[in-house]
Amino acid sequence: MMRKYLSSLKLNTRQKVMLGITATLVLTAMILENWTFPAYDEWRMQETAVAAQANTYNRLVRNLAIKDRVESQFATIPPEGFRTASDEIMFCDFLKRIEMAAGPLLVKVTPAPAEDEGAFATYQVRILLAGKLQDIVQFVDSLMHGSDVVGMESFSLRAIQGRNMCECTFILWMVRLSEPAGRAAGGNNTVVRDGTRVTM
Amino acid sequence: MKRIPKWLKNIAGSMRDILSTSKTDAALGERNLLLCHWQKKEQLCVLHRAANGETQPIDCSSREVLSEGVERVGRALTVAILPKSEYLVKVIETPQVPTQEVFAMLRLEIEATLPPDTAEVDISYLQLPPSEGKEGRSKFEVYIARDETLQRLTNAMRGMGLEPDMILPSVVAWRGVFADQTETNMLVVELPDDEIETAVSQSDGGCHVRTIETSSLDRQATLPPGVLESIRSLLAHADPDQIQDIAWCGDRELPIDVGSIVQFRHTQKEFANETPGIAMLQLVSSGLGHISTMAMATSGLHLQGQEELRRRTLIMRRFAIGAAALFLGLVLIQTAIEIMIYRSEQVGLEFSERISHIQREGETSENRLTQLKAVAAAKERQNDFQDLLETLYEFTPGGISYSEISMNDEGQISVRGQALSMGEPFLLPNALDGRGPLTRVVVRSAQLSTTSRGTITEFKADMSLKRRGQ
Repeated sequence: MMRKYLSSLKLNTRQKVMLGITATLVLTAMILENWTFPAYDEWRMQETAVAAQANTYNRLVRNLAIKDRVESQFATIPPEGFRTASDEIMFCDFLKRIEMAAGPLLVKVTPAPAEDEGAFATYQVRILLAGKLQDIVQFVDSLMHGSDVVGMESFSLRAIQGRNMCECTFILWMVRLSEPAGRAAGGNNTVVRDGTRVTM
Repeated sequence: MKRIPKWLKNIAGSMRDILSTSKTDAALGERNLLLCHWQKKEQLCVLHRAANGETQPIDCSSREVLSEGVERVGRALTVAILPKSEYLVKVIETPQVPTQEVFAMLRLEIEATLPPDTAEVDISYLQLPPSEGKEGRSKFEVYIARDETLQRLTNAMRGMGLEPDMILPSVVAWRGVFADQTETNMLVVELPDDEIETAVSQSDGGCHVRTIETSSLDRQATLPPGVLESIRSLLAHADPDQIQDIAWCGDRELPIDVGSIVQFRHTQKEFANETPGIAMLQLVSSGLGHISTMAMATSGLHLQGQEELRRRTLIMRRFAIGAAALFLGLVLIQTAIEIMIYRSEQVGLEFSERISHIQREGETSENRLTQLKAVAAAKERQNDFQDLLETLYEFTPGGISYSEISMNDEGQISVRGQALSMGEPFLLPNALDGRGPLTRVVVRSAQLSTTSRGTITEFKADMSLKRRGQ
C-alpha cells in the first residue's frame, strides 16, 4: 500500500533520495529519542546507584575491619556518658553539678539548646566565673575530670581588681551518647540505673 | 559450496561498481572477448575471441549450456554487434571543438534533424579524416539507434545470462575488416535473418553499408538484386583498370567473375561449415585488432535509459547500504547499552546482597565509632586550660606578666601582658615556642605605656595550642 502511494507521487530519483534521507533522519531521531537516550540515561543512573552502593559497601567493610578495636574502646566509656533521660533532665543535672562545683565563683550561666546528633547529644553552656585563679583552676579540673564527658570549646581569662583575682568565661559542652541505638545494634542489653551501668 | 546470499552479492556488486575501472582500457583486439550477434529469429550466436586472436564458437542451444561455455572462457568483455538494419549512419561536419564537447554537440545536431515524434535515441560516433579542402573542420560518422532497440537487445542477451559491455555498430567492425584486408573493396555478409549486409570501402576513407532484405526466393539466386546494386555503386566510383575484390562471407555459391572487373572470393573458408552468424562474427573478429582505442571508446553505443537505471540503482543501493549501516549501528549501540544496564543491575544486586549481610554489624560499628569520636573530641580539650596556664607559668621569662588570656574553639590563643622593658616581650617566642602544648608564638605588638610608677611595656602575642590528642 505504501509502495502504491509512493508510486502515485511520481517522484524522481533526487526526490526519492531526499525523501529517504528525511525519513531515515526522522526515524533515527525517533529511535534515539524513544529508545537510545532513555536507555543511556537509565544506564547512567544504574552506574551512579552502583557507585553509591560500592561506597556504602566499602564503608561498611572498613567499619567491620575496626569493629574489635571500636568495641574495646567503647567498653571503656563510663555509664555516665550515656543519655538515660530526656535532654532537659540531662541538662538540668549537668547545670546542677556545675553549680555545686563552682560555688561562689559562679557569676552567670547561659545554657544553649541541646543538639541531638543521633548517635549522641551535646549540651553547651557558657559560664562566667570570678574569683581567685587557683579556685577557678580547681573548678575546671573537677568539672573536666569528673564523671561527665565534658569538653572546653573556648575560654577567656582576664585579671580584675584585687590580688590574684580574675574573671573567666568558659564555653563548655557535655556529651551524652545515645545508648538505645548503640545497644540495640550491638546486642548488649545495657542500661544505666542510678548512675550504674547494668548489663542484662 | 554454500550459495552466497543475495544481499551479499548486492553489496559485492555495489563495491565492484564503485571500484571498477573502465573495461575499455586496452585495445579491443588485445582483450579476451565474447562477440555476440542476436538474430531476429531469437537465436544468439556467441564467438569467443582470445587475446591472442584465436576464436572458438560457444554453444548457445540453452542458457545453461551457454553459461557453462562462458564460465570456461573466464572474464571477458562482451561485445554485441548491432546490424545495420537497427541503426542509422549520418556523416556530420562541424567546426573544431574540444573532445569533451563533441558528444553533446553531435547529439544536439542529431536531435535537431530527427522528427519530433521520434522515440529516445542513443548516438555514438567515429571521427573521420577531414574532407579535402576542409582541414579546419571535423568530420564525424554518427551512429543513431533507438533506445528501444538497444533495450530489446540487452534484455534478450540478459535472458540468456549475458550482460553486454558494449554494443558495436557493424560498420565499425567492417572498417576494421577493410583495414585488415587492404585488397578488399567490398564485403558481402550473409546474416542469418534472410538479410545481407554489404559494405563498400570508399576512396575518401568512408564506408558505405547497406542492408538487403532477401526472401527465400532470392536465396536460390546466385546474386541477389540488392547486392548487384551495391556492386554497381562500387564500380561507379572505382578505377576501371583495377579489378575490384569482393569478399563474400556466407555459404552461397559464388557467382562467376563479371567481365574481369569484379573478383569474388570467400572469406575464411575454414569456417565455411559454420552458421552464417558465426561466420559473420569470425569476420568481425579478424578486424577487431585494427579498431583503435579512441574509435572503440566513441563508437560503442550505450543504452541511455539503462545507464540511468544503473546509476539510479547504484544511488539507491548506496543509500540503502548507508541507511542499513546507520540502523545497524543504532541497534548495536542499543544492544550495548542494554547489556551495560543488565551488567549494572547484576553488579547492583550483588552489592545489595553483600551489603545486606554486613549492614547491621557495619552500621553498629560506624555508630559506635561516631560516638567514640564525639567523646574523644571532648576529652581532647579537657586539659587545654590547665596545660596552657602551667606552661605559661613555668616558661614565661621574669619581668613579664599577663593581664588577659583567651583561646578560641580552634585552639588559637591571644595574650595581653606587661613587661618591664621593651625588649622582654620579644623573648617570649624563644621561651615558649615548643614548650608544652604551645607552638607558633608570635609577638604582635609592643608599646611603652606610662603609669604612676614609671613606664611599662604593653604587648600582645598570639600562639597556637597543640592538643594532646592531635
